Amino acid sequence: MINILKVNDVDKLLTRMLAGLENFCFRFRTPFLLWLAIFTAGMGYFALQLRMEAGFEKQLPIGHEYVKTFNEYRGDLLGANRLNIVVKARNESIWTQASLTRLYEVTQAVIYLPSVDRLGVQSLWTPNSLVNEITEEGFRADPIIPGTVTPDSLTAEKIAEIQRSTSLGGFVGTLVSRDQTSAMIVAELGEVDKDGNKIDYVEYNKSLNELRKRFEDENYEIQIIGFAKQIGDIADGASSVLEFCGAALVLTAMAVYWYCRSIRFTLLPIICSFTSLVWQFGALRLLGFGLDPLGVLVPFLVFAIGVSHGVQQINFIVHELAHGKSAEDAARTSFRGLLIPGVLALVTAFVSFVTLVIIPIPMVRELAITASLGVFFKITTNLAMLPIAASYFTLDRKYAEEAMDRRESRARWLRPLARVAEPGRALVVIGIAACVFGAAVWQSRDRVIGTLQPGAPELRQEARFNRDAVAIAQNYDTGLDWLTVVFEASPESCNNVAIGDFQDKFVWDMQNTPGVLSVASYAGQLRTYNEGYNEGHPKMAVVPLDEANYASLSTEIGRMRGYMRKDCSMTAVHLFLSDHKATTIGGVIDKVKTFRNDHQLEGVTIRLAAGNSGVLAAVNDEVEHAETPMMVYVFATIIALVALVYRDFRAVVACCLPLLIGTFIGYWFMKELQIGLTVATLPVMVLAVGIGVDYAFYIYNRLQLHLANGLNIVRALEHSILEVGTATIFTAITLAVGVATWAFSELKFQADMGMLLAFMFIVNMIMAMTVLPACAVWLEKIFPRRSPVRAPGILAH
Amino acid sequence: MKYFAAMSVKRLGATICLATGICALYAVQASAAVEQSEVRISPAVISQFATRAAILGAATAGQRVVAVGSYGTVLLSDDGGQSFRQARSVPVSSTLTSVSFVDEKHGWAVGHWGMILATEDGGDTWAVQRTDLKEDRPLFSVHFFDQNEGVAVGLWSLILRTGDGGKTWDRISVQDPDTGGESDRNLFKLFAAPSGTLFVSAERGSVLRSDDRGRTWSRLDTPYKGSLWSGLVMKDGTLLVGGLRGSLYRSRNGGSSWDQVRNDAHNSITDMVETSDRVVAVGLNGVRLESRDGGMTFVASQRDDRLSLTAAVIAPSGDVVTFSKTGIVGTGTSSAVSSK
Repeated sequence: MINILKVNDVDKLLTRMLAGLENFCFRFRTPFLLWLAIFTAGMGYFALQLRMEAGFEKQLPIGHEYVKTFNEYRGDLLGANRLNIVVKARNESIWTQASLTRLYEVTQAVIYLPSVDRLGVQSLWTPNSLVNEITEEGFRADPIIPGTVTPDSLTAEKIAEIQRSTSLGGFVGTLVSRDQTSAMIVAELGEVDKDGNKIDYVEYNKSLNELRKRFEDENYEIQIIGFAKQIGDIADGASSVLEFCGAALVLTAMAVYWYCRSIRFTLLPIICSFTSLVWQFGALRLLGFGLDPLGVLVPFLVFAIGVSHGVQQINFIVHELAHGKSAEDAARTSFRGLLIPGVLALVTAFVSFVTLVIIPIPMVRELAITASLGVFFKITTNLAMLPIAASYFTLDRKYAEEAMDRRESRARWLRPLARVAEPGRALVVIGIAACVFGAAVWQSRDRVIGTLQPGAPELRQEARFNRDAVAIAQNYDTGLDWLTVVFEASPESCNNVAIGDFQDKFVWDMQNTPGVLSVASYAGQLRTYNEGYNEGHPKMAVVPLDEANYASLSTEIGRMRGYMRKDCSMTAVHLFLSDHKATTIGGVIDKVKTFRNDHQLEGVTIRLAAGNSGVLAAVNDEVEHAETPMMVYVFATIIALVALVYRDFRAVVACCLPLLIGTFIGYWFMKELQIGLTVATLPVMVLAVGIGVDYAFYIYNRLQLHLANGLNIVRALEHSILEVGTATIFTAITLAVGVATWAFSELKFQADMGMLLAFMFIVNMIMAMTVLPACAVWLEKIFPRRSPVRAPGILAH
Repeated sequence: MKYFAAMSVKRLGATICLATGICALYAVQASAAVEQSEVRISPAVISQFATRAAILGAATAGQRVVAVGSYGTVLLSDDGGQSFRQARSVPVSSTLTSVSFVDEKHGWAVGHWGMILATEDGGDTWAVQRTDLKEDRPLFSVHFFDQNEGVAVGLWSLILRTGDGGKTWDRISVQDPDTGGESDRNLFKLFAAPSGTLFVSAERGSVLRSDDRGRTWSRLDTPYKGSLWSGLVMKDGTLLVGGLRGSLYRSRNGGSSWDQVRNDAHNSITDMVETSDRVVAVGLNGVRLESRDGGMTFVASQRDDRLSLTAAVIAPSGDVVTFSKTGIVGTGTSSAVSSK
């Protein structure tokens, strides 16, 4: 009977299992590799069918208060999946025949774009842009441009009339820019068409680009913003991911070659990592997923992890070869020696990715599945396939000796570093680490959630989309960012004057909130209509007190899209925001909540929050709430694994403390570089811990071995650092350089991830090479061992 | 231009309902006895953005300029309209439309919800004298002769008069000479001659006149058929009234006969004042008219931002302070004004 509480039993079990596995794998190495080859070919077939796929729905957090409101009323409110297309005259005003003709042509083209709600398209030329006028005959609502007017028949008088109507109808700032040089076309997109087909946003973006190409020339500019354009541009940018990954691959290959001076050993880890990538893509395809543009980096992160483990294997094998072993023996030793730390590291990375499932956003969950699958495959490709394939190599002694010489000379400059294991120096290191830790914790308080930059946060400031977004936000009252607050009441509330009055007070409160550019609301429409019905007298711009009057105005407003349900059971307030910085949205939401607490009206519920800013706020909320549990789970996994394998709290502390310090330094870095915590950067932080622990595992693994062999702690640490130090430093730098190239990506989030990840690789390496040994020494000094160190049997040779 | 008063909006509602076929809903609304929450009178919110509220009426209280507007906003300026602060305590947040002071301390403001407020400290704190939530009949204008006698007018020929400083208000009814029944013309603006004669510019081109401080009224008809929103008695006794789409009429005989004053403005005139050397009228969409010949001819200009001007008052310095739908505009002609 195995008692897992008994060290010896566990050791024996592990030892037996490892030996069995090793014998099995190496005895049947040819069929094993053949089988892998066939499997890879099969998966490759599916992997080739993988396409990039984006979706609006899957970015919505499931079950969040705001998203519930959004979903419940999405049919009644302005959709968050809107396209705003602006026709801008470069040199003149929009009020010329040529400009209005161009606007007409673009409007027609937009109406016939696929997936567009045709009747909902609005521009100066569409019949749903109505101007309310009081005439001798009574109230009249006419289109801005009468149906009888065509672009050919435009005269100066007619244009002047259109201009007057536009201003009268209050369309300056909505359909025409404030500087009157451009006009807007608004269209709503349905993600699923009537046949049940989903929009392919990548393809859709092509038709938008064609539209732009067709109508943009030296006289007119076509600006397009909206979710479809945004995600399309991201997908376009994401396709350049391949180039960056290619560059990273070449850099990595060159570095590995410099390290091992053998083409075969260079290609081996890369081919192994690539194999698992193929499996991963194939599996994704089989699961029915596409590659999300926002998650496109993850497979390549996994690839990087693979290379990192591969280098450790090569390091081990060359070391064994230099000691005169045959290729097969060396490979077997490496398999045996690295299986435990390798599995530990990969399981940690696996758990890190799995914790992403905590965030209830379908896209993030998809990403979690993608990544954890990839890491899972790594266990096979890097820890088994690699050494098994290496056992076929025939290498002469000369190569091994040269390799050993190189190793010695490289290790020479590691010697000063290895002296951190001396207690005096260790104390200095711990002191410095404590100071840095304190500073990092202090500096990383009030970290930013969400994004700081205006426009689409995934794209760079200077990207066409963001330039368009800024131009539109500057010239129109209705920018890209709006938050919709919903007033719920009982059905048939259209004569409940109190609701309008209550909402009117709310609107006044919100109008005076920093970050709110303008407000469009049911109460505001009541005011406008009441004023309009009274000859436009400013003194009549109020929410009417008379029930019948109130009710008939409500009927009027109900004919417009986006302000209410027909029976007034829901009326809306749209708050147009200056940007979508998390602090801006947060401030506005706080103000809404304060109002909700301070003012109540019986039967009326104020609900947050639809609009794209409402969705963003929900995402920020989820990210913020998921962060701590995710980190806790990841650290808990590391602690559990280390405790299980080494059965020593010293190991737990020595492995986890450097990681904790590294994580907080990472937070500090994020704050300094204004990188917010988002669905893109949160996985990076969690993963950084998962990868950072690799270094700790590989060093600690050697340390245990030397301690078990009877060396004292200082000597054991020196040996460990000299043996794996080069490989660890080399891996960290290689990976960091590889991902640092992403900083040149045209995608902002990719650049952020690249910089953050490169930084975290280096920080965690430095921590593992300095703080870990220093901690280990002092833990040993403070808590001397009563019994000799036991490493899982196999490690003791 | 036919005008729809709020009363006719009910008719209009039915018409629209017929036209659009949403009658069922309308009928339900009319008959359903759904539990109603009542509108509540609550104090005006003190806000650093109060100066952005729509201002609808203004007056001077000694050296102070007092302006009133939407959301119970009352703004005070002690530097001739250069800077404003919000009144300390206003017990209502409904829309205020007009204000009148008899000295530097005593003033009254009126507005929607039948609201009449009074102050005894130059506009810093206010008390409710009257309100009426039963009937949606807003008051549009107020004028006090002294601390006791005052008149307020509003929708559908509503005339209220007090002889006790606002403690009690009597409703004065006016007959319509055309129909013989009670007049239902909207009464927009009270303006008084130094002699004490009081005028009201009103709907359908009419002007009411009272020579006994508001007890009895007679109707003067102008040739104009639209609404007259504003009016002024000039120093020489000439009457000037302004209405929709730049309409201006002038009478040199106390209202017996009127001449149209042609001008280039096409926007409704909301208020007018006379300074030592000119007459200034302001209106919707940023229109501003100036006359230097006693109102015989006007020069029109329009603000580039088309901001609707809603009220004007002469500051103690003699400057014209103007107000808009988005609050204070300021004194003099700003750079945003271009000649038309």
